[in-house]
Amino acid sequence: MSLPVPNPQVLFTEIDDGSGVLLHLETKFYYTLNPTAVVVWKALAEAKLATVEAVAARLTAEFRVEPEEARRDLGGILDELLADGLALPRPA
Amino acid sequence: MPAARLHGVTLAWSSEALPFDPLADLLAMLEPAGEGAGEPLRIALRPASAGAASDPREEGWEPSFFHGIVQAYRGAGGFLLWDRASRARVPTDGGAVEAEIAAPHREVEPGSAAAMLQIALALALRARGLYHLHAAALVHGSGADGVGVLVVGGSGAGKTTTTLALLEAGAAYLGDDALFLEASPLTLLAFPRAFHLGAATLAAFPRLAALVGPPNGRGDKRPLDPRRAYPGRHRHVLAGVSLALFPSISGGPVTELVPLARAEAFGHLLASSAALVVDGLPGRDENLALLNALLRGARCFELRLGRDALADPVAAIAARVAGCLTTT
Repeated sequence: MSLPVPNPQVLFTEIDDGSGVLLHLETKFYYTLNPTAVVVWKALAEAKLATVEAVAARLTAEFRVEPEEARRDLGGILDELLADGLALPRPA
Repeated sequence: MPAARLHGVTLAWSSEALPFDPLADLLAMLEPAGEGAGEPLRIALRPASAGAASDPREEGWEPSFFHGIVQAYRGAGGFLLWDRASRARVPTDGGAVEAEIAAPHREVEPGSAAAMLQIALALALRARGLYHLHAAALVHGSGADGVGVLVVGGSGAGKTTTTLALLEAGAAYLGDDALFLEASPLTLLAFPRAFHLGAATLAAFPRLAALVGPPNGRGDKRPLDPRRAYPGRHRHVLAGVSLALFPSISGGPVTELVPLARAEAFGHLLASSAALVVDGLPGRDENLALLNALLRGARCFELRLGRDALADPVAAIAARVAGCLTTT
């Protein structure tokens, strides 16, 4: 499964406590990201990490969680990013 | 030609053909500019032509953002601001602002041309490295122990009430509503201007009733010259803030300070910086980085203003803020 890509109309700011904020320039809404979602967002922009499995593996390593939990968290975050238009399906 | 200094930028404006100076109120508290102050930001003001009241869309301008009655349009090289009677063209390259100003009796809403010029100034100053911030800033304590306090919130959130409560308790101020941010190093800059007090705020500070002027422009807010109300307590610059307060009216009986996560605080700061979402805004990335740096190292709190904030603002607000500053 391929990952979605960041919507170019969304600005990301990383906060130095590991959290982050997305600003959607079209809807004018902002969204706060927890440290897990920050890692996911940064991974979306990396072409070399363009699979769900690769990002789940990174979450497992960085947050010391079980692979199953990492995949579940990742799935939830991606669903929310896509639902709010913050990320877009990766072009074929 | 009048000229004034705003933190290294000289503002030079001409309004000879107008029977009044539309910038006189807005820039009244700035220091006059002397000779040889560098290339000024020029603002040319002249009477509105017949075409100033026509819809800019008919001339090919694209709608960009609205702020109250002021509408902003985007076109080649910059923005056009319009309040349906007056217009201002703001180049994004730092060139001269050109405005056509309608007579006050022709304004669709009293004071709208002044509001339009304030937005024009904020847009034009971005090219000079000054980024407008809708917030209040104070210095709590004195000398080396002085602590920078930022107060962020939209209209009606309680910024001015919070600012006045801290001032009554002895703080110094940069401003109650408008500041500028500058990079390298990050510095908060005052935009010296009158405070504006609504009726409820004024009732909470009865000492100030004798010092406010009559309502002017839009709404019923009354101007207060802070230099007169709090002599000797104006500060021009602040190197950073240790405390960021985000007031809101809770409606409860008692004012509360509630810790706020940094990302949430940054989000509130974005919400107070509406211009950031404007398409084609110059310096957006630098502006975002400055806002992020501003909160770095600051403790952030929601200030939920209860009914006690109007009954006894110094005890309800200033004492709680002081208590918060003494705890780590």
